[in-house]
Amino acid sequence: MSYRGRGRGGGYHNYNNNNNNNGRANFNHNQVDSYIAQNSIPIEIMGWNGASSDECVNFISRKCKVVVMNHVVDPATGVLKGYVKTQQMANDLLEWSGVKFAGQSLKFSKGGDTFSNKINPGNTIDVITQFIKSRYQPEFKMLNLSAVKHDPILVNQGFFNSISTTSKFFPALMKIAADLKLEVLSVDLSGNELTDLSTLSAMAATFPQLQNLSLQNNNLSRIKVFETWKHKLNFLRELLLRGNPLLANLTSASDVENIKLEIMRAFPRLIVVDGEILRNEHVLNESLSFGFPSGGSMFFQDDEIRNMATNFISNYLNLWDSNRADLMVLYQAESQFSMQVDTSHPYLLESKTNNSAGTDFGYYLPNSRNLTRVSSAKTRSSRVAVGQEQIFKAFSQLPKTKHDLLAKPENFSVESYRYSQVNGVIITIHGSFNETDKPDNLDGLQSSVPSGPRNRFAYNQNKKAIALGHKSFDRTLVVIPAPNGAMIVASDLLLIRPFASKDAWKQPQSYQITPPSSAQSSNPSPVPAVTVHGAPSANDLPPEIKSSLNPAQQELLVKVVLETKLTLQYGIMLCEQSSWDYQQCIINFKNSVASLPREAYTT
Amino acid sequence: MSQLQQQDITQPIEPFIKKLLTSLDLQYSTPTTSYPSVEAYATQFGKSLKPDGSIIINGTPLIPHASPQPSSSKLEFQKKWLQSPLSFHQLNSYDCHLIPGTGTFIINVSAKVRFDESGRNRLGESADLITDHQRQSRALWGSWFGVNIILVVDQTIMTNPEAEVINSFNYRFTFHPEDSVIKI
Repeated sequence: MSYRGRGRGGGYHNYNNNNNNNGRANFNHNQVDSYIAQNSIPIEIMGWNGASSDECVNFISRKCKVVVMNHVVDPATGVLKGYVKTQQMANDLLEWSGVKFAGQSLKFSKGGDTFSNKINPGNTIDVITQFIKSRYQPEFKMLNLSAVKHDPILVNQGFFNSISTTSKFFPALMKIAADLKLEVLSVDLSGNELTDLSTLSAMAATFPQLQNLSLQNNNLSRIKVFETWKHKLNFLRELLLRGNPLLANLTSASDVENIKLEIMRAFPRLIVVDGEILRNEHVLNESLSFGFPSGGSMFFQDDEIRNMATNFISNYLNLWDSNRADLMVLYQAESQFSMQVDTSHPYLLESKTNNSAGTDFGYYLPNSRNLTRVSSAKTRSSRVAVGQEQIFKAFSQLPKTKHDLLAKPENFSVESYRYSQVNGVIITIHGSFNETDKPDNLDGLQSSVPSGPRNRFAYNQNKKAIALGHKSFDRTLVVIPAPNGAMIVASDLLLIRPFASKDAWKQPQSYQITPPSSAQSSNPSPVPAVTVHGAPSANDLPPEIKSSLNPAQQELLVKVVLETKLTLQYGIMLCEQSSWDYQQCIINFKNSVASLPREAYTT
Repeated sequence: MSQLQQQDITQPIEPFIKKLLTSLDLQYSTPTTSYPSVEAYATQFGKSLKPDGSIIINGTPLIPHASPQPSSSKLEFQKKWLQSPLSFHQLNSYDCHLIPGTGTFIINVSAKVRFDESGRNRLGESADLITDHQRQSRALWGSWFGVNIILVVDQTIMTNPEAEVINSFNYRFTFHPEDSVIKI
């Protein structure tokens, strides 16, 4: 910058860049606005992202002879924003709309419109919320976002008055939809004049379970647009792309094939594109499934072990939380206990909770017997506690805890089976606990490591308290029933790891992938497309009906009849009254369902 | 148990665990190796398992079949592992106790594992109906899963690590990444 700053015109560049940085740093456009409002007109540029924003601004300067100042990219919308000196320059620039740059057409508009100054912000959320609700069909888990620019309410609210507000519509909608926590498996984005998907990048996070997506009748022309969702829509099964230049403009078969291969790479579970089956779904599901049946969170070798192990665990963890000294009757002279920490076990990073407490292992590390890290034979043996006295000391060097076994048994997983060599039983518990207080015995923290500047545990103690929080654990106890009905713990191996809020044995319902079967006819793709196996198709219609309807109408009729369970006769009436529009059919059906006679239905 | 014995007994366990995990991650064919048959490949998985040992995967025991041909829990495990996507394990941590008078170790292993999400199965067969002949097929590793493994092994691994020494093998996923394509 200093180099550029020398000589004639340098000051101008400097001015630019400084403001540029300022804008990038805070995105406080008000500042920039007030600074240059005297002689600058805000403009917005879309379709520039074939190359860098700097290259685009340089291009505009060369080609259109208009200097765009203080340009910044709005990270939420991808719109390139900047300022020109006069109203005349802004008007000149608007006439250049459509000029080709880096393989795309640039679109220029006068900027400065935001939701906040154009529309009352509180109202914006309400309007979009209402819009989403009106377009959501819970029975199909489908969100119809087709032709949003033709929605009269949205248009009246001024959502599409400028490129800026238009480009903010989908990001805002995805944010609000995420807050509404709708379960959405199908999204119809057809007819939205989309040239790019960057404004929809949030959709992958909002609807991660999405299975069916229609992008029909948009303006998508480059395969690169799918980058924004690459490996993010991992359950996408069917994609509709008809009516886009992307595939339509291709003439050579190998080009078409390459596009399909690229799309398949982006979506690992994609089966159908525009009705063409690209993958063998059965084989794919097998390839992407762990080969073992899911056994649930509990395994007991037999009923005797079930009774013994469940009793043992609930009593043991109860005493572990309340008074560890009471556990000592279970340990004898040859009993062994050791604890290890796996700090690098995978876990879910959660921004909402204070996760640093879940990964602060300050109380554990001085005694950790992770044998991949502890190599000295002396330390290896000294970190096993043998016999009651040592074991009690080791217990009291661990933080006080609360295991929520009774209230939340789903947070725990157990396996228990015989260990014939000891005539005993192995009991393994996986789960999490809450640290409620520091350990009773803090000797380990001082004595385990020699003092010195590199002593991080001493540092922790002196400078910063060790945080208490949630931890996850895997603990394996070898339990031997004694002749008098008592129990002996021969071996006790405790592993501590970062808190994993989402345990592997808990599968949310929505994770289940709906298998493609005739049952899926009640779970349609956004637009009539592929006939699902086993379901009736247009071919099954009586010939007299077939002859009076075109193929698209036949397909729609079958779909509507399957959906509504109406007879063919009533189905045709419904379709005709709804102008052969699927959405309208469903709406009309719902409106009139109460007044329909019984004979209107097939069953 | 003297200090000296302690030093000796835990030494062979780490290479043993690593070898076990590596056997689960073997590829059917690589540029340098290939197996004469699928069977020769599958029988490499968990070679050190005892045929009649207790094997529990994610809470499900492997039950040997009596018919049509008598099998073992080990063989059932190998068949199912063959049907799982290509894996890659990494040992994070382990700890073990020698139980006095039994001649057996109990080992608590903490590891992470990720799977090939390219859609090919372990034998490299693809579900794609159109294929790219120019691109070489290679694994597309997903996010890490967390795994806890509990093993009971004979003390004889100290002298003969190649032998069938695993009495029980309990493999449990402890963490499931949200973005995984793999269905567990």
